[in-house]
Amino acid sequence: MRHLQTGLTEYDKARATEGYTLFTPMIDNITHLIDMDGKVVHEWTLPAGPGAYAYLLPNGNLLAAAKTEDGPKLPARGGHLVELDWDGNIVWEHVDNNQHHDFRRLSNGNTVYLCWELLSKEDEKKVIGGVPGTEHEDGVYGDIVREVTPDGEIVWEWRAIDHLDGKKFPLHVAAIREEWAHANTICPVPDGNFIINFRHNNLMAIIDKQTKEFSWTCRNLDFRQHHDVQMLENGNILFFANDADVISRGPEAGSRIIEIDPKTNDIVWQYQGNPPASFYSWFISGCQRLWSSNTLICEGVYGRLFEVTPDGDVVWEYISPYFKANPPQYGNSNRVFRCYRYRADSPEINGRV
Amino acid sequence: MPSIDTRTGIIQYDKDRATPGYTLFTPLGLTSTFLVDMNGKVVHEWKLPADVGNYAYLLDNGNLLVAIRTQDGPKGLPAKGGHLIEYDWDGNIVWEHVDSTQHHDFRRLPNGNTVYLGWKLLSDEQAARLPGGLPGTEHEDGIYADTIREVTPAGEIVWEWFASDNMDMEKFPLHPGVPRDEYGHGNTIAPTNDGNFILNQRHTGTMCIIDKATKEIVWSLTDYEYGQQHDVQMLENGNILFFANGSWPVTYLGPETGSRVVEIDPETNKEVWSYAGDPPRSFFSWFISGAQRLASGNTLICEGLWGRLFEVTPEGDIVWDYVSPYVMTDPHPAYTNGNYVFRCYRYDPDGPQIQGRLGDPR
Repeated sequence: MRHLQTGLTEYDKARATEGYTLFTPMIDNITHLIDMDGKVVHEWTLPAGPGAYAYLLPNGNLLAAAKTEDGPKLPARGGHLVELDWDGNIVWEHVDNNQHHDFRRLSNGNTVYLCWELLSKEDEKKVIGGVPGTEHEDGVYGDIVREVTPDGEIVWEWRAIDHLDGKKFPLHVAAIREEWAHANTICPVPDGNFIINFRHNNLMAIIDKQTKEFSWTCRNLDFRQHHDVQMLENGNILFFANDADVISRGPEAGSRIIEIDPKTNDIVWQYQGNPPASFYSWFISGCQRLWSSNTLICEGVYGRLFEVTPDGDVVWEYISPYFKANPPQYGNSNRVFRCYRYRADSPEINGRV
Repeated sequence: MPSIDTRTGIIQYDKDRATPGYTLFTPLGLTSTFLVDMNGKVVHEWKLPADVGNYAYLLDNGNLLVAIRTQDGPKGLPAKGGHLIEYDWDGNIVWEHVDSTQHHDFRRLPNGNTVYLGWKLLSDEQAARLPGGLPGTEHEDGIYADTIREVTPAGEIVWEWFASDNMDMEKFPLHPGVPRDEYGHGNTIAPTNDGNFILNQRHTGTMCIIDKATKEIVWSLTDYEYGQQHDVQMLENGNILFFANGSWPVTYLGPETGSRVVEIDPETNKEVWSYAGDPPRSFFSWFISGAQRLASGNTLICEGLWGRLFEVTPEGDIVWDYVSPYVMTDPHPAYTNGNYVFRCYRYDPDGPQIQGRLGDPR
């Protein structure tokens, strides 16, 4: 049975990776930065609750998506991208009521993010799979990847309805048909292209920016939905395998952190709980490979942020103490979408704490 | 101390408010049934020839009734038993019955017969007609539908019921997110107070009462909000108590809110009592699990996924909390490294099951 303990619950000073951990409880509108002892050293108040998360930019500012009032009634909707300086002043913002889940500042100064468009009835027919009759009351929302300049001008767009082939990558048989196809990650890769992850057809892919085609894909139903798909410096792909869309096996297999070699799509490293069911988050969640080679994991549902060695030893663990029944149907929850560790001397922290 | 509670044995024991008795449980994947006192000390053990179909329980004659897994019968389906055995206190076999289609549940009836769940393949026509479930996920043999079988001590089948023939597939389809290897993964069969049977099917989300004389379903409840159920039973007061797992394939909202133990009035199907964790997802077992209403009014709960057996008052206070220390370490398709328990039972030290053979449990 999981504990109700919160705060710092494990800290192996010899083996944990020194730095500061940033996280935004999904139930409120505050981003916290804590030290290795779990003490809050800095906070930002967001204009509203997070669409999903916030992160620190190399310029030392915080980039976040806050929820707007308008926009489709769908999960992880943000709408108000804000860049806050260390003191919480808004230094940049962009409103797009269709923005959801993820957003990243690019090296060219632009910002890329995920958003929705309501598909035409014609286009809905291209959405294959999922459970019939589970469309959104508005219809089916298709994903779009949008890149905007600091002035908010759209300079590049990729529409899932145009480039995600429903016959080749249909929705999972148990998926709801509200979205095509519930993208939850958009992230630049070193060569200027984008890695994208779709939850409802179990697809992770690299979009070639020039051709808008997929230069790489991986669709392995054994990973059973994923979040936070990213390319590491070594070229491998790291992600959080939720182990959701359980058929009969259920979560005794637990969630996993998986690293694959995209040349073969074989697993080269993974972390699993012991017993497996003790590490399990059926939605949200993320991971970060640290400079020490340890991996920081956000077990989203349980608000559990913890660091493991390559051999899978837990060397740091912190449970978010921020609980609220928001929204009420989730019960009293401390869930966190993603978290990040930054070094004290990193450009993100810049020695300010 | 890490946030995952790794403590085992007695976690909590409120001597004034817990119901004195002995608690019986069988760790999944292992080959012993244990009886522990209120301090978590093992006071009696039955060694089993192989691992259990799911669980064991004590009969009113003081013997243990258990289902052991056999090698024959449908392959790869969960909770397969096949060999029903009745042991006396000293572990001698006093009765047995082999039926390799037996799975999940089995009960000794007041008339001395034994009722249990089994499997029988749907015909091709029936399989084609069965609505729901994930297309293409049938068992290699087809679709195994639930049967209920009552046998005499001599092993003669005297009553049978078939989901294939006696259950309206249109009225009770498979949930859209479950596999089509079974119609519909029955996990509970129990006698009701008036000589009928209560059945629970996990994959149709349906609990129902079957009239023994007519084989008709005279009461049923299908509510996906419960997120599948286990251990559905009729209490002395006529209400239905069950463990609401709180889990379906998670592309439907998902089990954010945890499991519950629920008591409903079958006249109205309204909830009259329930227990939930605080926060809700701190009490969660997506599979197995059970509940027992004790004579004291408290409820003993088996949170199967965590091997956690705990007792709550009607107000929801935890007055006894024990975590099975028995971990399955052999490689096993589903159970490795878990301390799972399907069901547990608390027995009165002077009641018909224990018969004063163990003294004071406190």
